[in-house]
Amino acid sequence: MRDARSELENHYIDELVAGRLSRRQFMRKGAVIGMSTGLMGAILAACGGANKVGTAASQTSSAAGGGASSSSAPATKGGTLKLAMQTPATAINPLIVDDAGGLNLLAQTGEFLTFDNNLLLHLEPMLATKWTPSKAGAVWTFALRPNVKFHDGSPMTADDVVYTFQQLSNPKNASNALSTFAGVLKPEGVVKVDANTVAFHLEAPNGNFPYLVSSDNYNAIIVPKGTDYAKWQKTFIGTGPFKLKSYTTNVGANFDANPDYWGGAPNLDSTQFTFYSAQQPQILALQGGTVDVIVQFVVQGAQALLNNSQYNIIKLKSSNHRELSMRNDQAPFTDKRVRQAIALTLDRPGMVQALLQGLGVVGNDSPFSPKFPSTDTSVPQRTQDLTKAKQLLQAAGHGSGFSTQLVTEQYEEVPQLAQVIAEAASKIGVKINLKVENQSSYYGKATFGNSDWLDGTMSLVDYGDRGVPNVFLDAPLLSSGTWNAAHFKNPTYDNLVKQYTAAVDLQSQRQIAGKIQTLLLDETPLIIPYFIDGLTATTQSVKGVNPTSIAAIYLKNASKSA
Amino acid sequence: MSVDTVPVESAAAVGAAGADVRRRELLRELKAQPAFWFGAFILGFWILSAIFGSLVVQDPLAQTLSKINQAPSSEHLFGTDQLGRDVLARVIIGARPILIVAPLATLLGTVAGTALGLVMGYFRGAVDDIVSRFVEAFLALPLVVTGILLSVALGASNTTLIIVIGIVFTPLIARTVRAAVLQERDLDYIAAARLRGESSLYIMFAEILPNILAPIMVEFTVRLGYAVFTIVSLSFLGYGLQPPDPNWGSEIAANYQQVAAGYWWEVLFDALAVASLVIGVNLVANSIERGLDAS
Amino acid sequence: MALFILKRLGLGLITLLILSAIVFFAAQVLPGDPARAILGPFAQQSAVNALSRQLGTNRSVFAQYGTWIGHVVTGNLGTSYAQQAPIAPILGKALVNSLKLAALAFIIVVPLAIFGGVEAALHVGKLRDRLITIFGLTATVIPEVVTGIVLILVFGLWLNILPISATAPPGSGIGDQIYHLILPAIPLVLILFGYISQMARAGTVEALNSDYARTATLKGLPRGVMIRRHILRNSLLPTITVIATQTGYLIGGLVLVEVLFNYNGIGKLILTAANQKDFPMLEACVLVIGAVYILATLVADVLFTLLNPRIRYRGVE
Repeated sequence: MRDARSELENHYIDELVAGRLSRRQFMRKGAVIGMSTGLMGAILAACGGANKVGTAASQTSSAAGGGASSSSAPATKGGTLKLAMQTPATAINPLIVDDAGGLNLLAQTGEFLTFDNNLLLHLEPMLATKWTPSKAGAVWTFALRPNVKFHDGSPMTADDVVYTFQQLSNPKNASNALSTFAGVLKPEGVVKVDANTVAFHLEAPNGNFPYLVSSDNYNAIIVPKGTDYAKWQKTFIGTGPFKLKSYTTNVGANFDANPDYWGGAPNLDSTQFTFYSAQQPQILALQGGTVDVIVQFVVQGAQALLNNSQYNIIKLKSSNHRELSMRNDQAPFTDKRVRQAIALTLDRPGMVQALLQGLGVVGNDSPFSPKFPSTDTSVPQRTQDLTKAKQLLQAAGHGSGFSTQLVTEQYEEVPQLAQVIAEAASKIGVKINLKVENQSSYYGKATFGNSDWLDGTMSLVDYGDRGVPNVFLDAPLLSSGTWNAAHFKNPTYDNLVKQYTAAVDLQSQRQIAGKIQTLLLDETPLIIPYFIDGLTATTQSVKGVNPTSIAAIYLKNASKSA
Repeated sequence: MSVDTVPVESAAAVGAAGADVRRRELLRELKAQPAFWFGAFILGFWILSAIFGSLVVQDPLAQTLSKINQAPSSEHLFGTDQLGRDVLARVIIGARPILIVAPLATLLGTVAGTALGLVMGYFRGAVDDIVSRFVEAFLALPLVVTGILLSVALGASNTTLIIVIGIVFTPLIARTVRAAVLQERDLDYIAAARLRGESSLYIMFAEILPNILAPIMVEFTVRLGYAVFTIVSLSFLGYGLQPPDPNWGSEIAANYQQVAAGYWWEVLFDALAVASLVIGVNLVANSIERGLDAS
Repeated sequence: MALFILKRLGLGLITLLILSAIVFFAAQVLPGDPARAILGPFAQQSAVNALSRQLGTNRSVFAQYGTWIGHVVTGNLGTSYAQQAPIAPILGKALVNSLKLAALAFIIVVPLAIFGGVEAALHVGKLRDRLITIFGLTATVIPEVVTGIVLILVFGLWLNILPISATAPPGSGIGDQIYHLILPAIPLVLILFGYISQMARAGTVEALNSDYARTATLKGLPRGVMIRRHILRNSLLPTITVIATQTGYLIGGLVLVEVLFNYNGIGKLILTAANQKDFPMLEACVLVIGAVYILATLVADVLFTLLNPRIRYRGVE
């Protein structure tokens, strides 16, 4: 079986056999380099008992966007699923969308080249069936699924894919995907090879590129060539298992099953999304039976759902986190001992318990979430140590403490987190005055000098889930980073990130990750206290929904029993 | 309160003496009203809480992350909040910012509104017409919306809140003062002052103002209640005071999402505190108004 | 009279113009810019610049205001920056929702407050009068947030008899919609009660002291009949005017009630528009609210003048 495999594929198989890669991670990494699910299953079977971790990963679903694989009984056919979701903040324009509500609507009718299955933590084929990197990882070639039709009946071909990615990566467009593609992909790098093959010629080698065209990059749904993105919300045209019935701004959206879907018609006849601008009414709607599903919720105020057998809570491991940056270029935070001292005051397990009701994991002041296979888990975890914190502060010449300001946003549990941090820091004599602003005031123009987020002495911001850590490592921490609120400038770090991005095989990725984690732990340009699980709630009658940590929900295999 | 009978030469002086007499009559009126005493008691309670509360209650900022969202018990009479802080302490100390901001904001609005109203009512004509258009435009905008625009523009802080509420109240008070001035300006003592060649500024502030103090005072007390109203409303929408120092509006905003989980104590006591303060202010305001009418 | 109304309408238009200018230019001080607000903090600056060009927000403030006002005078409320869709239908839906809520509040409060006011007037100076007056004055200044929270706790969670979300499920009938609007309407009712009952009380007191009422009493007309036939009618006049003037307040109060009870009305719309720097939407909301306020005040004044001949043309300015 191994002879026919590429060098990289064999590397992953070795990792698996050596036990350095769990089954789940193997599925994930294998998929990135385009190994088919069937092949990986065969390898896993061949490895037998070599690695028992995460056997759930072997239950892969056959169709992309497949549901939770827990149910073996045949799914109920028909019916309308009613879902509560966050009101989209803006027009449903695939180029522009940047919020939980909007991106979930894109995912209802649109599809991506690849699908980041958050339940199984691996990458699956969606509109691409296979993808392979060039040896250095600078060119990625995607084979497209044949016989796929858009909702208007026209076939989906390489021309549509090329058009989509040229629009997304064009710096002249108002495209949100530019924050992913800047420095990675230019419009001229998207090349049609033949009617069913597209090649991406990258600006620099990138080992995780398949994630950048996956459902993680929510703007990247494939649209027909020539689509006017501004008018997309009139048709919601895509290739997905559901097609638009109606969309009413600020009110809701209804979708009907697409009988011609390439993966077979979905179980449900239709879906009905109602928009809510707050969480509390969504919980009440679920309790009152008005909706069957809450697409995503946070734990504050939802305690009533958690330990109630009437509801199914789907918990997703996520890289969703909060970053507390300290101005590395401003006294007293120019001294890394001061930054370390603040980080040592935090009782992280206590914070996860109190602020997340235990639905999260502690962070180690680097964006490498335990969710990522490349994370080096051998880097020691930072724990609360007030004595050491006081010593460090003393050594830095701030033995009697100091006073500073922390600016942050009104968003989920962030204001509470800020208060916990302020209380913790007060134990070593550091007085943190809080400034909690609404999000538009906090972010401002989001450029240096025009943004409390980027200019604040201490600044606490939220970062949503990503399938790979690349975005977290770049803009918030690189010397040239546009979101570098910590004003952290470290050439060694910059160089390590460049190596990490280019690394195609997991072994070297993890090796570099270890170095980055150690460096960040030592320098502590910012504090990451925890990673937050993604939460979805359904009634017991609902089966097969497949949510993601970025608050999109895939309903191809969903069903609802009467 | 008939000014016509007062000899015109010494209107200002007599006006001041008259005010003294009126004040004594007013106090006598007030003492006779149970509503006044009840209101004063509530107000007094909150003022004492704001000043001396910290001697009695626990530390309102002390967090106990292992004891969050606990129902009222003998240890925490009003329970604990989502960071394990004592709700009773936060309610008691939460009186502070409101009792500082509300009177200062009302004072600012009253001073600015009185000045504007005097100018409008005294000069009338073009000045009045133009300013009136702006006042109308301001009043056509929902108070909360004006408050939000100003708060966002100025950034959230106690000072901002004072300025915002002061600005919002200015046209409202100006309108009342203008109406009062219009009644005064054609009276003999004003004509006499003009004949003496007094400046407009002198006539407005030294002659008219002392004679319209009663409606201004009523306006002040009534607006005080609205100031509390506005602080709480703006805080609820997230444009109020900064954590972690407790204040009732922000407490309600921060814990409102917890209600569905059944943690009612995290908002109910703050809501009742607001209601009681407003009732107290209003009982006193209403009693003063009645007292002024009677005297 | 016609001349008076025309003059008032003219002044109203000027007021609206000033209002729109104040809001437009005041909104410029808000942090951030529209394109940034739409694309989010993590968008590339080049994308923000591109969107600014598309929206026309890279032009001078005066040019933007000019374009906007040019559209408005031709009856076009424009396109929302954030929603990239015509404003009129979105605003229309929200306005209808708000009006439903306001109408329900009025339907509940008007009979209650008039009854309360008349009752107080008939017992002037007695305990009943004092209680009604103080209750009214107090209810008027308790923030909607506070009454709303208490109502949600008591009726929504403890007794569990009324829904605490104002939005009825899609496709609900009128009965269900009203059922969902009861709780949100109560804070508005409480606030309006004070104003309206005070006016009703004052009107009734005046009517009771009128020569007509004294004559009628002397002639031995039963008190109940007199109240119903004459006093009530006279006391209604000032009440109608105060109802009209309270429309302005009501829209402000709706912001909080709509947020608290998650209701898609004009209050929530204006709040979102302000946060997103969606100027065309913000301006449209402000114009509609301003117009409603000015018209309501005009109607109040006209009614007051028409129904009360003694102060015709005098009390209004």
